[in-house]
Amino acid sequence: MKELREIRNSNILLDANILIHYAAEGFAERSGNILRILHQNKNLLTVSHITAFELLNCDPKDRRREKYLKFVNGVRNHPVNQAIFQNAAVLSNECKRLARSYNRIFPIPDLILGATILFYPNDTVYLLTTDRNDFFDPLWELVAHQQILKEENEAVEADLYLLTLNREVLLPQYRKAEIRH
Amino acid sequence: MARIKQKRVSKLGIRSSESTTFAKAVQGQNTNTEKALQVLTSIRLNETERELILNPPIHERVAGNSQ
Repeated sequence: MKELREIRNSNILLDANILIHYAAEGFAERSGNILRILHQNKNLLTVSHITAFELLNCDPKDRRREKYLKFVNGVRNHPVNQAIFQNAAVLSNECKRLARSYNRIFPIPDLILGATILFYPNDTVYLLTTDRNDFFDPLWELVAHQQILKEENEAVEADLYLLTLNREVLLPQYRKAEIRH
Repeated sequence: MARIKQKRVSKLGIRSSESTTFAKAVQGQNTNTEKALQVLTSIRLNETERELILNPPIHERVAGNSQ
């Protein structure tokens, strides 16, 4: 298992939960400035338009909104287009099948992140998230991990997971970027 | 010749043909990641604020959120 800081020359899609944790007081320092390290390691840090929506979907008077907007405009954004929505719909059903829980509803933003990664060729883009509930094994395989501890009592503050989409567990017709419906 | 070029691995560790696809999706965006990260860390959410955003009260959750 690699440590997150060892990852180099990769494309990394950031989940909203990473950006919310990173904006918390002292989190960047406690994480060893992990996003900056990843950037310095020549990784391309990107977000999806859906993540921008999640971050900006707050009270317009909220002082944080302007800063999130600056952040979103400062990194590369993946579009959410027709192909991504179609992939997300397929992924929703595949998640239910693989989780063996046909009544479970997966969050739409998470499906769109998954669909964005599915859109690109295999292992081209990784996902960085703290959510192993919705991005679960065996569909999402762990590439690297970092645990952040709280300073005062050494309790776990967050687990950062770098994940790759395991297309092998998808039904054969859904494994390629261009899904055949 | 063309075949060799297609198999060449880029600095990002992906094949040139794949790199082109990826680059097309995010091209034409003026970005400054270093500055963006500085702005992000200047937000300084306290623990309560962070918890409320990550785990909002049940009545504030959007449809489709399973948590």
